[in-house]
Amino acid sequence: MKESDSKLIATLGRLKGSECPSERELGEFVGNSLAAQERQTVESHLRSCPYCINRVVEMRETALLLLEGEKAPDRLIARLQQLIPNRPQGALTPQPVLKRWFAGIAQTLGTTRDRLSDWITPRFVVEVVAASAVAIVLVMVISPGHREKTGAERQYAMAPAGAGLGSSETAVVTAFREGVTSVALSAIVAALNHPPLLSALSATRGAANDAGYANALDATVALVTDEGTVGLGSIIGAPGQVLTNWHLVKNSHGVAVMVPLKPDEGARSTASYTALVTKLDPASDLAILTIEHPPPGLKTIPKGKAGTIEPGSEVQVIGKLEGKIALIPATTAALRPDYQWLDAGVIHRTTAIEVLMEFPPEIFGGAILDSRGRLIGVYSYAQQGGGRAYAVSVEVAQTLLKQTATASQPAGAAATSSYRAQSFGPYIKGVYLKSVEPPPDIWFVYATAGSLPLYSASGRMNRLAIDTIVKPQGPGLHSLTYYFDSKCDGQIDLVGYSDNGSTIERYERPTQKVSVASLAPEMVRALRAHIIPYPKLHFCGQARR
Amino acid sequence: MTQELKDLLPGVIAGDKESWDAFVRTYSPLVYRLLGKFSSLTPNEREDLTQDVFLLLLDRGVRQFRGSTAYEFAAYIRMITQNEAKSHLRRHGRRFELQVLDQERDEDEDRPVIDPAADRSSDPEEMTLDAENRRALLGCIQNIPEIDQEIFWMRQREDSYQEISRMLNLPTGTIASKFHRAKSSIEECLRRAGIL
Repeated sequence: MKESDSKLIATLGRLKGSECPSERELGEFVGNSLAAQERQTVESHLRSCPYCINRVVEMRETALLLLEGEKAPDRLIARLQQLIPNRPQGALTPQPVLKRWFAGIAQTLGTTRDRLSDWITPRFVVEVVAASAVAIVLVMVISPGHREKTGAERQYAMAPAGAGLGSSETAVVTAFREGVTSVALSAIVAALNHPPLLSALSATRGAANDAGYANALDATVALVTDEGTVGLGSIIGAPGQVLTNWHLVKNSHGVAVMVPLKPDEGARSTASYTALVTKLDPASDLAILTIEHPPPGLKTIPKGKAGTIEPGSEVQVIGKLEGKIALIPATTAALRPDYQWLDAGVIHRTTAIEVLMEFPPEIFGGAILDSRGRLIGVYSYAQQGGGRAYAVSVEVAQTLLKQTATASQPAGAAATSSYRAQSFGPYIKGVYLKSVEPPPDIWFVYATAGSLPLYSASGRMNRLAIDTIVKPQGPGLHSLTYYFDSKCDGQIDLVGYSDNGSTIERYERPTQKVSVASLAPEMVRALRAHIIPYPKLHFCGQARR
Repeated sequence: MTQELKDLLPGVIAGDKESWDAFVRTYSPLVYRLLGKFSSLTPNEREDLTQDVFLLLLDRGVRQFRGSTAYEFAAYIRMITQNEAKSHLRRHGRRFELQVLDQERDEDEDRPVIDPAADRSSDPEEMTLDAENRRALLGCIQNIPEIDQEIFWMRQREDSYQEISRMLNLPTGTIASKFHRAKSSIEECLRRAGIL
């Protein structure tokens, strides 16, 4: 391209009309399905908006690419089609339990043969085959089809799909959202009471097991976040460190945990505390919380080793049955060193224990225990209808814990490393501003996206971390520019760049002064239009609500 | 095209095997071709990423699509694919940045398209043109027919006359003349306005 051309393009490219048409309008424009008048409106917009012209051109290019070009390999197409497996003959007949078990085991065998290195031994295959035979026999014997359900089956059948919130939990959620004072918040949190943890352990286990399991249940907490998410966590270390799932707390600005109390500690079955999210790791779907002002004498779950668990072992998942936290038996199938799963649009990839269980509970974050009640994983993901569930291995959690310890040490490195970006998941950014410690709790962030009016809101998360929420208005996230006024002096003192909405890639101090005032009105407009319903937002110079 | 899509997507969301197979047949070439534009991907990575994109589509992607036209859906797939590729390259420590974020970096071979939107966010100072230049620029382009402007940009994006002809269903000769007319008209006007 000639130099004058590049200059022309660069100049023109900066031009953008106001009130750009939506993706839908452009789609209909390109597809010739707009009514004449609308078509004219869009066309006249396009004439003065090179930016939208390029959106249109991209649409046309993509449509052409859909029709012609390099052929995708047949084996790839076959592999993609297998993402929805062929339905086995006669599935969904009156004995789904049996069928699901059988399918689960058969699939496990297939995938382990193909993919596993760690646990795959001929012995394992034999064991699983043997286990499957036993399971089938058992189900057939106790499940002739028209007899009364056993107690255990009834429990499974009634296990809540997505737990509803009780009134005290709802009060906490509301309090978090409305940003009440910390005194009021602790009073509301203190009123939380979780139903008693299941005390009756299975009668079939020995006394040694019982003690280990009872300890693990004592060290299990229920948690509720300002987003209304509920889940479980395990107390794994002093002072009040709780291991749970990233996906439960990723968007949270407030977390309350309910710690079980002994029956002789009064009428209440749990005591409640607020907790800070101190470490998040989207890749492994793990998070570490720290209970604020933890009471003395909290129980902790000892850590076992996922790497030494034999396939086919019986393990216990701490989950929820009939609203009570309970041990739910499961059988290990494999240790998957690089397991990937998708949840809410985020791909997780980590070492996970695959377990088979009849009805995987839908409350996550609880521990998976070995036969001595030691934590070997965090129950994180259940395949829909597959009878298979996955727990992130304790070894991954331990690495994460160590990272936390390192991160809290002063880095003492060069100036550029004083800003550390951390992804808190899609659209959530966290920034540690080590040079301003503690960071001001009144500050300002403004975000723009390439094609969309994206805005961000900010609040204080804890002494070290500042969080930011970005609410995208559509799918076309190109790049974001953040402007931070962390000193609250009306000048932007840090600019962050991100190009996919999940991490801030780069920080720079602007060389020229840019005043916040030149950006703020757009932010205010966005707020007024309720683009960001975020209660804790405030601007520099404004009194906190 | 749109009707087919309307028939297909609900089946995919419901987990219907036949719909899924058809969906894969229709859209896997697009994803595969889009990934082909990222030259630093190995053939294996390209196939794995195609699978990742389809996993995403299967898991939430299709359900979360809010548009109504096939063009929007293809654009939606393009967005997902490009994001996947970029984050993959980044995860594996390979250089990938939108050109915007680093204008001083001269070459970025992964860059799939010219993205004026991204361009704007590179530098806060550059984000807005001053009012005078803006008016002049607008004056230069707003009388150029929409279709001519499209052709102008398609050429800037290095689309061939053949491709443009397929996209717009116009003969290549017409396209060439429209392009030259649009280009010289814009250039001349900008020169008069002192911008170029």
